[in-house]
Amino acid sequence: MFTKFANPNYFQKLSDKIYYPCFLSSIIFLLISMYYSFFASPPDYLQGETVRIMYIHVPCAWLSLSTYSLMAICSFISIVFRHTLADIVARACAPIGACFTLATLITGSIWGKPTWGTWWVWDARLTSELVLFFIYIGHIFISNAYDDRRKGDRNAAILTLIGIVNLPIIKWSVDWWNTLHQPASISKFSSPSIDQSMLIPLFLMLISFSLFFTTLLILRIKSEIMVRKIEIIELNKN
Amino acid sequence: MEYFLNFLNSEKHFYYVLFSYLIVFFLLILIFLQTSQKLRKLEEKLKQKLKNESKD
Repeated sequence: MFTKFANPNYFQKLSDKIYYPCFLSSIIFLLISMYYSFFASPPDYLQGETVRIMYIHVPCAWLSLSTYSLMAICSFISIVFRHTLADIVARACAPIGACFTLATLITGSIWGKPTWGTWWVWDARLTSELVLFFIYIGHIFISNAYDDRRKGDRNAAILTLIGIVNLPIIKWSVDWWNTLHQPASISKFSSPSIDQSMLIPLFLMLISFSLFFTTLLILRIKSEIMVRKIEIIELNKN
Repeated sequence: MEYFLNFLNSEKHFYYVLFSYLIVFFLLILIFLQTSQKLRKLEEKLKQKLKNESKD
């Protein structure tokens, strides 16, 4: 089954089918979540109206981490099994992950000003998220730095696997060190400390962003497959 | 509606929230447009290459 999905041609046919439903549902979920964010969720008793930044900041942060996890899995598959589709997915993920990380950093900074009184502090959570952004940028540069794509993909995969050390640091930095950033409010092991009225828009936005991520990923994978097809045609010609 | 009206009247926090949303949507729209434009160009290039190949 894995090999069937890993076949670029089969993957392209499948992606054509799911692209439009994915894109449309991401827009629908976005509109619903915007309604819940601004019309159905109350201000926080401490942070006031700025709590509404959470509805975009947190989904962006989650996606920046999960995109990197996906990239790391693909990099592992690429190095161990040398599968082309794994390289293609990792290459396609990097700019999207960088975009979500940048959005996390900017919205976090904007949220920090009224809450902490500063745009930026060099605390563990913020710094490790910035490092994640640099790793994404590094991946993009390294994968495009060589004339031989395979060499670029391989070196970028190595960077991704080294950079995976940063993920637990981001996740648990708020528990390991004294930081300005608040600890996780939603955990697998305990009930969330956020009220239902704030959880609903948060999860709706997360669904919307995840669907949008899938849409972008499909488009970028298609682009990468096309680049490789063009390269093959040019090689055959020469 | 009451929450939204209160938000609009919250002078201090309104712009922080507004700019956060605007920046995120701007970034997402930007990457979407860049991606779809790149795909369109590649589709055309591939079509052209395939056409030239069939001619040869």
